[in-house]
Amino acid sequence: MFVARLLVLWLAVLGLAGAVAPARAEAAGCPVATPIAFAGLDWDSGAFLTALDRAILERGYGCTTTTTPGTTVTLEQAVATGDIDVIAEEWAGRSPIWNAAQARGQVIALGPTVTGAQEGIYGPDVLVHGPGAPAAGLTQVGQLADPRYAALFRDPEQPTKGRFLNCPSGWTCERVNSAKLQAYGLADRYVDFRPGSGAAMDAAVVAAMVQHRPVLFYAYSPSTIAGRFHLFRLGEPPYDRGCWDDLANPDGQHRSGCASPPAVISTGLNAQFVAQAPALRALFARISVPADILSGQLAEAAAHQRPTAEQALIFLRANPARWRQWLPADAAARLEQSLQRADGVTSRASSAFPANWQISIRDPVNRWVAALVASSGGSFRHIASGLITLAASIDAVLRAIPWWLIIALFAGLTLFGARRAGPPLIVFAAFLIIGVLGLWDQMLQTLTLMLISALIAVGIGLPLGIGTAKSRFSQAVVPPVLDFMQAMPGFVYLIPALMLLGLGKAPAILAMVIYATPPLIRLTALGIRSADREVIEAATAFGATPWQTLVHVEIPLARDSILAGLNQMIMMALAMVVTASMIGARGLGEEVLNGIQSLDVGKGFEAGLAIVVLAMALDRTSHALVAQRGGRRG
Amino acid sequence: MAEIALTGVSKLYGGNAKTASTLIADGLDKATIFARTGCNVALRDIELTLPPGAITVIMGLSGSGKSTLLRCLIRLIDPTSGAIRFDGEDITRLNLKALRTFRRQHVGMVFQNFALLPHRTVLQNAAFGLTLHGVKRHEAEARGAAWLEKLGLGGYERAYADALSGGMRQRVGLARALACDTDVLLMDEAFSALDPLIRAELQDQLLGLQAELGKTIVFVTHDIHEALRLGAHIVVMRDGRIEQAAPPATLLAAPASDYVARFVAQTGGPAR
Repeated sequence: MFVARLLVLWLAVLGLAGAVAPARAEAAGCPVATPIAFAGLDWDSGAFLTALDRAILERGYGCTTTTTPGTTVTLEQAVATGDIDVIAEEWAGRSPIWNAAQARGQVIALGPTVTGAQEGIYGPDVLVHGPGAPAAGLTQVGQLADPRYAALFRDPEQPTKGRFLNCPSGWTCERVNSAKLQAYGLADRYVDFRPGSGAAMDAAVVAAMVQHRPVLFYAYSPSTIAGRFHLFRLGEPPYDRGCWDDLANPDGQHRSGCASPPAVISTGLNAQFVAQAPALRALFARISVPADILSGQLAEAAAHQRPTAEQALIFLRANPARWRQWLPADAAARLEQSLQRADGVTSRASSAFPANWQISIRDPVNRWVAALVASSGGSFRHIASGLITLAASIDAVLRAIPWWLIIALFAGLTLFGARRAGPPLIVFAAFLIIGVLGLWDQMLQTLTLMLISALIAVGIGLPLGIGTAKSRFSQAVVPPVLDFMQAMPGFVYLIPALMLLGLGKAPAILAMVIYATPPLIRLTALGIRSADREVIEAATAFGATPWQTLVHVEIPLARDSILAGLNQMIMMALAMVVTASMIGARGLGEEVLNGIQSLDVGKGFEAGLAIVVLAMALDRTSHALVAQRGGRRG
Repeated sequence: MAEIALTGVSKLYGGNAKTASTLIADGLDKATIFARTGCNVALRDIELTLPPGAITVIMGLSGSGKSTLLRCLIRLIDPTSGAIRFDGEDITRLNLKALRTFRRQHVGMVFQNFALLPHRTVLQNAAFGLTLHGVKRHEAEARGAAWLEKLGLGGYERAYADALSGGMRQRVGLARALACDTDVLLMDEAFSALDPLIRAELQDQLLGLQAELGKTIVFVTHDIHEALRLGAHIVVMRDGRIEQAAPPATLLAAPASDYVARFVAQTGGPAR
């Protein structure tokens, strides 16, 4: 279960962070005095190798260790600057930031930490080798150009094309894969789909595998997915330096494709740290695990929902022969002794809360989600395809309108509502800024998502807000539900949501609706509740029905508050755009994500600025339109 | 013309209403009942007949129950017990739908803080009651405009209520109630929020209109001068009870209790 793994990783990080303090350096064993700072890698094999290294250092050498979470590029940067000492899994040679730091002598890569690593374009093995396999005979990437295969891997958002599940935006592999699509002549037949985050990528693949749907994706080994599922890797022409350099170059020709170079997975270290501790240099140079064994460990951890730290200990206990080759005799002896101790994970924070009072709802939740994903892909996909169709038609309409007409339309509507020059001018300037920044197309995609989620949010938010103001029952029930919606971290429900709804626009709309509706509900309820009692009484005295009172008195009186709610709704929905792109929604959010994941701050800022001005434009337009109704006030 | 008759009307808030009812029957006072039962007696056993076609003023200090009594008349507040008969029909027995019809046919109301709709124009406010009753907008606004004209607000139709002074706003409130063309007009401290001069002006205007219209008007106020000026009939209330119900002359000449006498004393006594 993927969700489980996410949870596991998270718990592992928690557990390890808690373990830092009590794990005191014993005697003189550790070659460095200060705690060793590890990169808190968030993908499965990286987390496992980190846990393995930390267990060896803490138990074999008596060192203290810490981890710091972050994205790959920021962590690589931190190793270069010395804020972090060790990256346990470094794909050296693939990252421009790492290569530059290596050239400056700031970092050193030791290894190979993992042998036999592979990467490429994969599909489920049953598609090719099973009885009645629909893609029997598919062996090479080049064959995918056949429309038969494009139809097999059909993209729900653009059904005339297939979908290739690429790496998240900003990852090095993403650019190379896009170049490969072009080089293999697949760019016109397949949507180059970027899931936005590693978690979303894995969840999408796992959901497809569990639901027995065809899926074409980039994958690598070692990984949980490689260990858990029987995958089929499509053949590519052998690696060739010239071909690869062209693929890796964003401005290359991309005329012919080839396999990626053999993956060199190392342990990345800060150069000064290594100079300080030659003993550790020798250790990291020797630590080495074959990719298939590592994948097996990851799959086992996932199957038993074990924290990676626990799985690392299980691995160490089961494979002493392997690590004896890595450690000098004294450290090996100390590690062996430590492993014989019965405690599970290195050492948990000794919480004062009584252990036998603790209840875990992890397993039931996991079982429920797993059953839901396995059984009811279908009905959820109907909802998803409805949303996708709606999004596609709105998108088509927006795209059919010339850019200047869109600006004129929004500015005109604002002018019609506001009857003042100020707001329409802001709208005009906002759209112009977006166009000038070269983000018009992305803005349209975001606008489509915004319009749909705003429609749904208003449809839910207004009636619920009124209901909350009127009924004691909803007054008791709704606020805690809203707290849940607002405070529950998005990824907790988005990962299962994307497994049910599929990667892309549908879960993105869900995310925006969940986040954007609560302020509208709260402020509508507040407005209705604080409407002047005397005016409502007047309506009643004149024989108004409850509906008349609501429409003619309460809603107009609550207007300012509802307007504030609409404003907050728009802001919240746009704030969610980046999260939405982490689960595969295109648009401005993807640009932000792309920018920050490749440390291109300028690009991220441009897209962020576009989000802000789009928010302002939508706010002014909606405000003008709603505020106009029923005249002015005060 | 509507005759309104109240028999045994009580209103209790919170606490143990059942026990409180028996204590009322025993004649215990408001404070004692509250102390014993936690029950706030807003009205106790009101027996009152409001003469048709005349202005009855209900007078009392805040907390005396005068506004509660007014609201009970059209069940903006439901009495805990008792009967309220309009021309013999007990409105406490009406279901919600029948109650709405009753309010539409019989009652217009004017409020202390005007209770106008800030998002509507003066004309739309004046026509508001009629539009609620389902009268076509065009006709409703024509009738509203006629009343605005009559009350001296001609030319202000397109203005918003917020732009008017208090006196003008209350004229809009009055126009709204009169436009409904009902036989009963309820006025809850209608002039209390206005400056003394404007108040006197509106009092005169109301008297002038009443001479012409002859409606059954129930006017709530805390001001004895206003009560004496407007009322053909004055009901003095205290602690949810009627202290005295009489024409102004009787009230001045023969106050039924010290309490009423103290009120009357403010006016400079009977020899006014």
